[in-house]
Amino acid sequence: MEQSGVPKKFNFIIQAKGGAGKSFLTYLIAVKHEEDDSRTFIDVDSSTKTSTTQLQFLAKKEQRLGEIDLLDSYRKIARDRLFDSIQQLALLTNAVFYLDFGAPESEQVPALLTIDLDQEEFKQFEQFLGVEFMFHVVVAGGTAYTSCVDYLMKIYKAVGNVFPVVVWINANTFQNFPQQREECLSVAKKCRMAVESFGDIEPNTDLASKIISNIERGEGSSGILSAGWFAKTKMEKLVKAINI
Amino acid sequence: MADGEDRQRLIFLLENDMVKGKFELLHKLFVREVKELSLLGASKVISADLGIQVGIQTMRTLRRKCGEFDRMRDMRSTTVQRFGSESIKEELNDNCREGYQSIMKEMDGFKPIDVFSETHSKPLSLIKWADKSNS
Repeated sequence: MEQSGVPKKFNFIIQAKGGAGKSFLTYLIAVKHEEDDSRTFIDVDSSTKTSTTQLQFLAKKEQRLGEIDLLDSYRKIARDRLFDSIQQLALLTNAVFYLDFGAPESEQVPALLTIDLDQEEFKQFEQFLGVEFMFHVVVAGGTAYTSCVDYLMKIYKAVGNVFPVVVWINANTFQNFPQQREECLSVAKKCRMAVESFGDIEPNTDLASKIISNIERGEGSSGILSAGWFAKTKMEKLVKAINI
Repeated sequence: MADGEDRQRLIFLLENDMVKGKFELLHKLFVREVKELSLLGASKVISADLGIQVGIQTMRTLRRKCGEFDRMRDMRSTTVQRFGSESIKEELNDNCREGYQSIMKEMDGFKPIDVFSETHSKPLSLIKWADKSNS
């Protein structure tokens, strides 16, 4: 199904623990690639639709922002609906897709890749579409840490042999937990998973409030200008630090 | 593999995003693939055979409909067996006869295939775009 020489990329941003920073990461990626029309962002969070709100600055352009509802007519998650959605996305001309999963949808991903299909079959699906899949697991520190790492290991066991898994450390949540950060890095190293960091900003400060306010209004890089030079500069740093 | 005319009709329906009649034809032509292969496997085999993409969600819906179809067919055959045997017919008194005739009347025109033409099929596009463009 692949039409050009370069395979399309599907980035799954996942974590079953709520509030770990999936949508924040998705927002930063979206701002980084705001002007790149070949990149599409999909909100796969039926309950909160956070990215649909936060990425409104992309909605002006065609097929930059969309949502997929994985709930069936009984409002239960139909895991395999994801496969068809991916097939439909693969037919578009866009080159890179970022799918921001909600916590309930993320929770279904390990089962999707172990019960419904095994990772070899999922690999066949990738080859059938002529695309590349990559899993981005967000990990937060503090009280969320244990659940986040448990989930990371589930994903690693489910797809780690066949697909690249990237660990995204939500930096601000680890500020008071350096040991957890070290442990997380050690786990990633043992499993040979790539590690990226994002969101290095002091929480509960005026600066953080201004940036969060801009994000919640669904404004992109131009929106932050109204928050002042310092907020703009910090935002630019946060975006620049994203490596994806 | 597939009967020529039905196959052409099915391809036409798929190419034009038409739902009505799609599942009847898929069931008629590919019931074996849907029942015996994985959802992904069936999707791949049928897509390759028809030369047009038939997604996993369609396979999932078709498999569910096949299950409903089999259940209804079994139910019908059990009911007809129970009420249709000569020995039971002979034992029926007048009151029962009326009930029996009523049941048999209800069974007239019953087509298990009807499960495939239900109207609650999902819309084909699963992606809702913020800019309101169609996928």
